[in-house]
Amino acid sequence: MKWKNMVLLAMMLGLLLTGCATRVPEYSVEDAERGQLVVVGTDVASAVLVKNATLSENASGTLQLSVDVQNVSRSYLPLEYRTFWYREDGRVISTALSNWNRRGFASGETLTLTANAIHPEAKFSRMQFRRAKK
Amino acid sequence: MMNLKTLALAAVLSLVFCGCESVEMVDTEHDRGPAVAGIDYRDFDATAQNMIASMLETGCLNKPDGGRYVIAISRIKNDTTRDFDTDQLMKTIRVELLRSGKAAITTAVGINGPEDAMSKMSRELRADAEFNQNTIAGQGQMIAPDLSISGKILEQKLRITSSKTQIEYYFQLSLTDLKTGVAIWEDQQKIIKRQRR
Repeated sequence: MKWKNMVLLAMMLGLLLTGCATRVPEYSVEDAERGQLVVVGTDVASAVLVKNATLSENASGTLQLSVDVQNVSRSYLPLEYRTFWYREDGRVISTALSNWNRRGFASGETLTLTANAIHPEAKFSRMQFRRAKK
Repeated sequence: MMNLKTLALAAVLSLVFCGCESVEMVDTEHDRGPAVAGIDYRDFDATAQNMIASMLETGCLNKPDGGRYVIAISRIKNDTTRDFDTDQLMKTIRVELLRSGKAAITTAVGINGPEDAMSKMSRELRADAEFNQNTIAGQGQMIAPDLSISGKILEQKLRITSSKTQIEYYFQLSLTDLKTGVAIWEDQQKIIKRQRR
C-alpha cells in the first residue's frame, strides 16, 4: 500500500514538473519611448543591457530601428532578435521577414542591431530578444 | 508451423512500429529546432530579410520621378549540391518588394520565357468574335522591366578535422538597370555551418 502511494506521488510530481518545463517565458520591457519598444526575454534579461533605441528614416524613406545592446554577462552570449512593425493605429504589418536573427557577442561588447521597415506605413516597432540555442 | 508463427509475429510487430511514426507541426514563429547542414526555411528567410534590408538601406529602389520600378527575375543559379528551387528565396524577396511599394515584378518577361504566359495568350483572343473586344488588352499596354535581378547560390565544403566539416553557403544577388546594363546594387550574404560526424 505504501509503495502504491509512493508511486502515485512520484507520478503526480513528474506531471507537475513537466507542466513547469513547457510554460511560456514572460518578457520584461527594458525601454519604451517614441514608438520603439525593446522586449528582452527573461532568459537573457540579466545578461543584456539595452543602452539606446532610436528610430530614423533610411535612404528609401522607410523606418530604421537601431538598438545598442551590451553583453553585461561574464561570458560569450549567443543572442537572437527579431522585429515587428506596426501601423499608426497599432495593427501589425504582415511580413514574412520577422524571423529570428542570430548574433553573438563577447563579454562587455556592445552591438548595434538594426532593422528596416519594409512597408512605408510602419510607424512603431518592437524588437524582441532571446538567448540563442547552440 | 513455427516459421509461420514467427512470420506473423514479425508482420504484427512491423505494423505496430509503423503506427509509432510521429509527425509534428513546426511553429515557424518560435522554431528552436537544431540547425541542419543543408539550407532550410530559416536560412532562406534570413537571407531574404538581409537582402531586402540592404536594398532599402542603399535607396537603390527610389525612382527619381516617384512610382515603382518594374523588375524582371533573371537567372538565379543554384550552384550547390543541394536540391532546392531558388524560388524558395526569390518568392519572399518578390513579396516583400511588392509590399514595400518600391517595385513590382513582371511575370510577362523571364529568362526562360514569361512566368505567366497568359498575358500574351489573352491577346490571341483579338481575332475571336466570341469575345467582347473591349475587354481584351490593347496593343502597347504591357510594361517592360526597368531592372532585373540575377544571382547565384554557391556552396563550399571545408574539412576542419577528420570528424568536423565546415559548409559555407554564399547567396549573391545583383540588380541591373536594363537600360544601361549597369548593376546598381549587389550584395552577398554568407551562411556558415559546422557539422560534426
